[in-house]
Amino acid sequence: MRRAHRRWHGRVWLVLPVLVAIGFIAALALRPPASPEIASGAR
Amino acid sequence: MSAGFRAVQWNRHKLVYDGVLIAGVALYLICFLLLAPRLWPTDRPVTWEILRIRAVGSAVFLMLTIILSIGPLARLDRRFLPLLYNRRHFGVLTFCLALVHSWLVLDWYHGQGKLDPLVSVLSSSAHYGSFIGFPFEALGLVALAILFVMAATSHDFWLTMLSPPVWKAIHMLVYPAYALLIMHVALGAIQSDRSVLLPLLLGGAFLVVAALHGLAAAHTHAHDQPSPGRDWLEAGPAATIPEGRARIVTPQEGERIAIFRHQGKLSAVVNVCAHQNGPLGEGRIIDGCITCPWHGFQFRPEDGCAPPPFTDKVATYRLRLAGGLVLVDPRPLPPGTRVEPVPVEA
Repeated sequence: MRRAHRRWHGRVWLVLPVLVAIGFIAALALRPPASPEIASGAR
Repeated sequence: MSAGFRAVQWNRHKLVYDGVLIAGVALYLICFLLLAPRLWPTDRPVTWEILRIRAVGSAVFLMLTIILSIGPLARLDRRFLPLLYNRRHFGVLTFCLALVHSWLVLDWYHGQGKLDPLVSVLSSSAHYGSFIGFPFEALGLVALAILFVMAATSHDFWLTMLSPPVWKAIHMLVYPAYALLIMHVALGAIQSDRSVLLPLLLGGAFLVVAALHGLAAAHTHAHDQPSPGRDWLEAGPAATIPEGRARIVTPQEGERIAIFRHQGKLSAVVNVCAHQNGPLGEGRIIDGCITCPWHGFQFRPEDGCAPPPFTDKVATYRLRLAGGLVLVDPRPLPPGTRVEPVPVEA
């Protein structure tokens, strides 16, 4: 990989895992209480 | 290489790779279908149709996690390089399974109504403005579209047609696709499944991929400290470069340089493969040619030219020895320029 590409990747792509981590934690924290119907996967 | 877009040809290695791949996927699906009902006990048993959807969906996520881990693993340890060699087939199979997952979902959840299944999946939940309740199926569909574009352009024909930078940019979309898949599961299955197993597996997979990329970046950075000087760079003792292998040096400006030892003589080429910018210096010399560790493209060490009938070329560099130390001129010569190899035992 070219050096310029590596530098670019390092900076820009750092944003993506941070956003994913925030989204994942928020989705876990905000999930509603379970109901038997939902738990069965019936939606 | 350049002749008739036949760089990636079938060989025994690829057949074994694909055989192991398909057997692994089949084994995973069978194990999931047998074990998942016991691992995720619910008050009401999960139907066979939903189990199928989850089996294929989880296989896609697992495969994408492995695909994204192969790159950094290969940078950290050469023993993983064989996995990198045929990663495109891994990716195409992942897309095929993602397509099966989508078809099963459309058929089971959206195939019985009056609306077209695709319209139904995008309009059945209109909570596009909210976070929890966001139609997670749309995230999966966007990820599927990205995987389709990648699978469709995976052949070397498209690499040549689009040019390596454009092709690489398109295939870097695998990272947004992975992010979309994580949120697809986080806003979908995790919202309806109260077990801790699913969040642990999802979060664990994400952390593994992120940690491997961080480690690989740190590893590359540690080996990427520029050597001082603009005229002739000192590249360490000549005697310690292993036969058939390279030492990589980093000049202040420009690309890294791979100094190869072949039959007791040293030659230097740019560390960037003409095919997909692979790290030539991490490869080895096979049949007298530097062989890229990514896809097996070959170049002669003395002039950077691919062997006939191929026409690819990489830049070469001038070398000399001084007191057993290798010195390299960091100014690249035009690709294909012959430089007389320097004997180690002068």
